[in-house]
Amino acid sequence: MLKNWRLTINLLTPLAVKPPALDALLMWELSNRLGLNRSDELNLKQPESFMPEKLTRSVPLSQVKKCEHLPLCKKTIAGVDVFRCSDPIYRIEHEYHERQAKRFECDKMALMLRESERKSLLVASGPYKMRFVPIRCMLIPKVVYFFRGDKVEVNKLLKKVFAIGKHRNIGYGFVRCFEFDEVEEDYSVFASKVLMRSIPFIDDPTIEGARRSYGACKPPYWHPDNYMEILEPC
Amino acid sequence: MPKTHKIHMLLETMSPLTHMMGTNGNEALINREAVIYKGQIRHLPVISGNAIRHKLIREPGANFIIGACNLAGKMNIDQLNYLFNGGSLVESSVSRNIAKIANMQIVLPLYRLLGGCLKNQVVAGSLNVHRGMLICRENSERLSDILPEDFAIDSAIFPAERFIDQYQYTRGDAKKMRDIDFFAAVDELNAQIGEEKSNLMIFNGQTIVAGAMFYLGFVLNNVSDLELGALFHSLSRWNGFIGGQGSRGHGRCKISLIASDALEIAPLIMAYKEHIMGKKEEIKTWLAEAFPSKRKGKEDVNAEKLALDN
Repeated sequence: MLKNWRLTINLLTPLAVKPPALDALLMWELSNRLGLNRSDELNLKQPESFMPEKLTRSVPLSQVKKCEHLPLCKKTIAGVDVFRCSDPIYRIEHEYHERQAKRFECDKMALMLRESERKSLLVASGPYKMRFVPIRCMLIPKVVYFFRGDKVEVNKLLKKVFAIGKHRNIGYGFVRCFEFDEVEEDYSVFASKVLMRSIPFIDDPTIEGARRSYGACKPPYWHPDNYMEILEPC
Repeated sequence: MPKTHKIHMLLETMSPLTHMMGTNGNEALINREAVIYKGQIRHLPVISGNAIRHKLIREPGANFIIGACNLAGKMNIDQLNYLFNGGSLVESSVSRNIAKIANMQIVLPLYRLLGGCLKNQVVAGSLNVHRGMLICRENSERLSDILPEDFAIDSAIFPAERFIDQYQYTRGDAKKMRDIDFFAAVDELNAQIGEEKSNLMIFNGQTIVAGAMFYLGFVLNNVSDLELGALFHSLSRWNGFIGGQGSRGHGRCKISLIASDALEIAPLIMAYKEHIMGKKEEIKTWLAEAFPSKRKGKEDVNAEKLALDN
């Protein structure tokens, strides 16, 4: 049933970097399930031509299988279809940085190396660089999205989302729960005249809370093929 | 059939735990995360997910593979960097070799679980590790939300600061040992030659007291039984230390499983061990192909393999 919804993601642990867009999150999850995101279900017996393509920045979007059937309505703006879901809305309660350490433990490795490999190793730069990398953390109790779409299907896709943001593998952005509330008004793209998500650039002075920028307004947001002049909320 | 698993564990400190985030002067500071408790920001001790991933899973798992395949003393730096640190992207990622990734995922379930970086390709893993959350009053609400229903935390438990203590050590100065000889010390003073700098140093820091408990959680997305077995096998081979100053006895811990949807763990571990013992040659071949020595060309993979075999 297509209705207007407010989705609240309650977070358990600090979020690294920033929360994702809802359509990006759903597309990531759907791609995982269709086997398009990763080389998980590879079968060596298959000829290489049947193996799923791993999408990188250098692979044109036109060459890969499309994954655009999300349970969200679409709105066509300036000839581009954008999903009817708002950008993440959140309040940063506290911002700080933590550090991630990585080092090649030469003391433990020395005798595991073959004799010809036991030599001076540069650890100040290069592939074996010791790192103490700062991670920008934000304490955000909840992230809210408005969307128009099918709640049941969105919920199904979110069922296996345990964490959001970056560095999910080391405990950042773990999700406590998802809450859906039906809302009367559609705040997915515009709330009255206030812009709620990135859209292709249109010269409309009546739009409020928007600034002109350059980037993507549909997933995958990181892919250069999707870059264009946009209006983004500010 | 791949399944998603959630595993809940408890880590209990048996000796003071020093998992640090930095220093303030001579004092080492315990690693903390910010949480909101009763409308206020509190900084609570935490064990980083990165440390848990490495010390409890990657390191014991890598040691087992090296031991099982008799690879000690026969590897190159890139192979060790991959097994123990997850590797580094050092070549252009324009080209891809899916067969190489697939081979890795077949022969090394642990690295399919953890992910890693081949020379020209980042391979995602399937394991999400929770941060080690201190079981304390400020965390009780958060923990109650993620723990299974039978394991709710009592909100009357001690607050986090009650679990934090201090340690202090002194590094001795070998030169000062002579001062035990009183007459020699008096002579030294009289001769006014005692102006050399001393290496004597006092250093201190914060610790988590012995007996504190942390929640550990693992989420394994779409994994096979072999990967689940790899996780439990690595946990079973963990040496029991986490954090710094293990040489002084700090960071001795024990873990216990409190809830998991995998009912039988022993057969999973056995299956994983059998898999590794049965795929020794494939593991060696894969390592030699994926990380050939820098001085050799790609066509010398066989020679590399021969070195690993010997």
